[in-house]
Amino acid sequence: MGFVDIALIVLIVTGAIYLLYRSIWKKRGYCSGCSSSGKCR
Amino acid sequence: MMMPNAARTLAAVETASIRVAVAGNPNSGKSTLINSLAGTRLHVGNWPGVTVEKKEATLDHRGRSIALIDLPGTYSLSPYTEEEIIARDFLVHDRPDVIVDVVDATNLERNLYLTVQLLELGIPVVVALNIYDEAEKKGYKIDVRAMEIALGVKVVPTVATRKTGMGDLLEAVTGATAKGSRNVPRSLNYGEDIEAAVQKLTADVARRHPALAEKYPERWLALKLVEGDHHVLAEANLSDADSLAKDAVGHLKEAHGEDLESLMADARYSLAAGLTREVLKRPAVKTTELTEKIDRVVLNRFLGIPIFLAAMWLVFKLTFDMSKPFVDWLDGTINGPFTRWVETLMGFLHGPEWLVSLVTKGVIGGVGFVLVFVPVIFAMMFFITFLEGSGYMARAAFVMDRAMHSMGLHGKSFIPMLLGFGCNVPAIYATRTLENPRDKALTALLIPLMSCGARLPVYVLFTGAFFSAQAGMVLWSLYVMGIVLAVLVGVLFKRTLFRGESPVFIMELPPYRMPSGRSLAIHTWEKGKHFLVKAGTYILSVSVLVWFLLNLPWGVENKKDSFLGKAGSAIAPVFAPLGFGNWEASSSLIAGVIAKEIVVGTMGEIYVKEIEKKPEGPAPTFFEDLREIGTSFAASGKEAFSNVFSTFGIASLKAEEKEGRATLRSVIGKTFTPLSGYAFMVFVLLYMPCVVTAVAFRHEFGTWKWFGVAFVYQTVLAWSAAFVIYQGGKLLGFGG
Amino acid sequence: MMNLAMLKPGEKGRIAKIGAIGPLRRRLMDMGVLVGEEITVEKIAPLGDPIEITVKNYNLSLRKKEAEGILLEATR
Repeated sequence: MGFVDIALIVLIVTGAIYLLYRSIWKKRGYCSGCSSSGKCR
Repeated sequence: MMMPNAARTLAAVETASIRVAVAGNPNSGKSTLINSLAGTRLHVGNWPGVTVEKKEATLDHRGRSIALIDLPGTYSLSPYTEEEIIARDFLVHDRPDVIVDVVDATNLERNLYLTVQLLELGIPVVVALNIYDEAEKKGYKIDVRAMEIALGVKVVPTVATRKTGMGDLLEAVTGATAKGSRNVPRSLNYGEDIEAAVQKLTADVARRHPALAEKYPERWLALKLVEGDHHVLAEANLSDADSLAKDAVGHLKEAHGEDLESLMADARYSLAAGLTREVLKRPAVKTTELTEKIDRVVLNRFLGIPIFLAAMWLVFKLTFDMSKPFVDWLDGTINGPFTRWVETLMGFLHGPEWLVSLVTKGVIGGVGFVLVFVPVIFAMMFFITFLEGSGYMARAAFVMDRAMHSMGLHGKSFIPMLLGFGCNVPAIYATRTLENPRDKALTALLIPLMSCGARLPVYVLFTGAFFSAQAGMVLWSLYVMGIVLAVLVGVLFKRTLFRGESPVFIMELPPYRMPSGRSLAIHTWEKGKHFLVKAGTYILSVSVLVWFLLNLPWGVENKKDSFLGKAGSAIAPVFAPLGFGNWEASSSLIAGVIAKEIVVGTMGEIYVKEIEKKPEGPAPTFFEDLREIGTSFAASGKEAFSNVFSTFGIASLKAEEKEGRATLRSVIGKTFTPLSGYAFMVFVLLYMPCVVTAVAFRHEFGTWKWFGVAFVYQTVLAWSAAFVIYQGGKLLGFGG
Repeated sequence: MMNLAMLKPGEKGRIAKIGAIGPLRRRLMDMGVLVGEEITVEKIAPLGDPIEITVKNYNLSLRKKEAEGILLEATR
């Protein structure tokens, strides 16, 4: 379980959580035509 | 486009982009027209602050850039519905260069009612006389030239479904903006009295509120004041609207006695009717339309509902039969060759073992299992799109309305609920169109009972394992259960939480049409694309997280002892009376809280050891793999074809074992029984809305309250229903 | 006074007065339901409600309650 492994894990998990957050909350899971950053309102 | 005219040079005008607003009645073929003009350049979005769709496209015509903006379909520009307000606000404040008015040639008078109102705005108009082919078929003769003279604008016959007249239309549009063009719409005469009032009002406004005269088209503003349009009055902050209007309008009121809104509506219709009489020659004999003939059966008092149910069953059967072979093909390809390639690739990159496992079992296992059902989703969306486009959906709404009415629901609620069958999330947002907050909340509460596309993978998996011979029937039973329960719950809610008046219901029934292949393809893709996007985003991320939860603490041998496994085991007893009190099912349900597709994805990850392929002999080469993929795809196609034809015979769903490889389906067969499998499906159908839907509730209602209500009632309902089915089934001897 | 809800499928009438007010009234008018227009009842839904009517060559669905608000001259 090298350092590289741990770093990779942290990266992947953070990435997954971020993707989750962004796709569900920010983009309301489905929002066609909204800007890619910031709130949809 | 905000620059004052004087600042533009001639050269700039000649090359500037032309902004075209596309208006027209619903069902006038407006969407088809835009699709025909814009093709793949179409961009679908939302009008700011609402969920009404906004389609835009930019195209080039003879060197001029044309920007098309699709306005919501409306019958009028009254200030009462959201669609109309969006349309008129855009026209009045954003001031497009040209308006294309899409008119249904088979319904001239009705459509001209809107045309007349568009002309009031003083913006150049081009009329697209659409559905021209059907008008001709009916024997109508329309004097296009006379129409142009009467309206003062260019009229172009079009057949959007065949892309006829598109070139002429674009010519007319560019021509309308050319300097010196005579395309200034005639100020149609609404009769002496009204015109006199308009004149006086125009003068008054110019004198007392000069700022307003800049902001709004002159004539339009005056007409709105005559009507007493509350939206304009509020917007313009006209506090002395009464005194303004009183002088000018007092006469009118005295002379005509009725409310002025009716008066104006009458005046507009008179114009529309008069115009129609002048330019349209109907055939002497009225042919009984095919639409009427069909409706006589479909909307029959006694046959209506059974026909609707039969139609639904047919949709499910066809969806299943057609997509099943491709599902198997995808399953085989993803878990076979594709996984092998990824493994080989990662081997080259010397990826650590755990990473390989994450990618193959976590990502491919999780997301892959969900993607395997893409054919089902697309097939279903295709049939739903077909029903919508052909006009049958409106009939379904009509037939189901009484049921909806007893729940205190609007016919308008039908649309969001229908969307719910694709995905609950946009359906919740679509409740925006229900102005009454009571309707809105009630509809939203019932939407999660409309079985969404995410639950399909679960159904297909279990149905394939246990009910292959009666797949269509079982699927149908689940969907119908959702609907029936929605009615019951709706009635219950109406009696308790939502006491009050029943709302208004007016819906139109468009004539039956054969939807064009093009529009079918585009709309099916739009709906199906959503599923793919979901897969690539939150399903992917959750699959990754689930993998971690299933494989931590690090090095855990039996998945049952992982974090997720422990959580599942803890909750499992709750499900014991329902027949699936095992940790695998519980863990999957827990993960499925995020999005219901994940139930299947998680099961894939949990059972992955059992379904790991034991390679026999040397692994096939890349090219052998490719060839295999190709031939099996072709085989799937053939099978799908034969399935559809045998639809009216026996359902043909075979639970296959590919080359002795254990599939998820067969593993399911060992841990569930048909009865517990069905109970499980019912539970998945009914239990809480997924997190994504929860967020939609929050976003749409500004509070978690309604999600909370949904969560509670649904979970109770799910548990109870599964309990009744499982225990009841056992009692009746269907086995445990 | 005769109202729309009293008609049976196939029967016609001429509109004498629209009893509704506000948005509903405007919506009805926008759809062609105007005083003086001829209106025909095509069908009544399986459970009695809504009612499908034709006015100005267009098909519409109305609730029984709304139909009751549309008063007709005596014409058969």
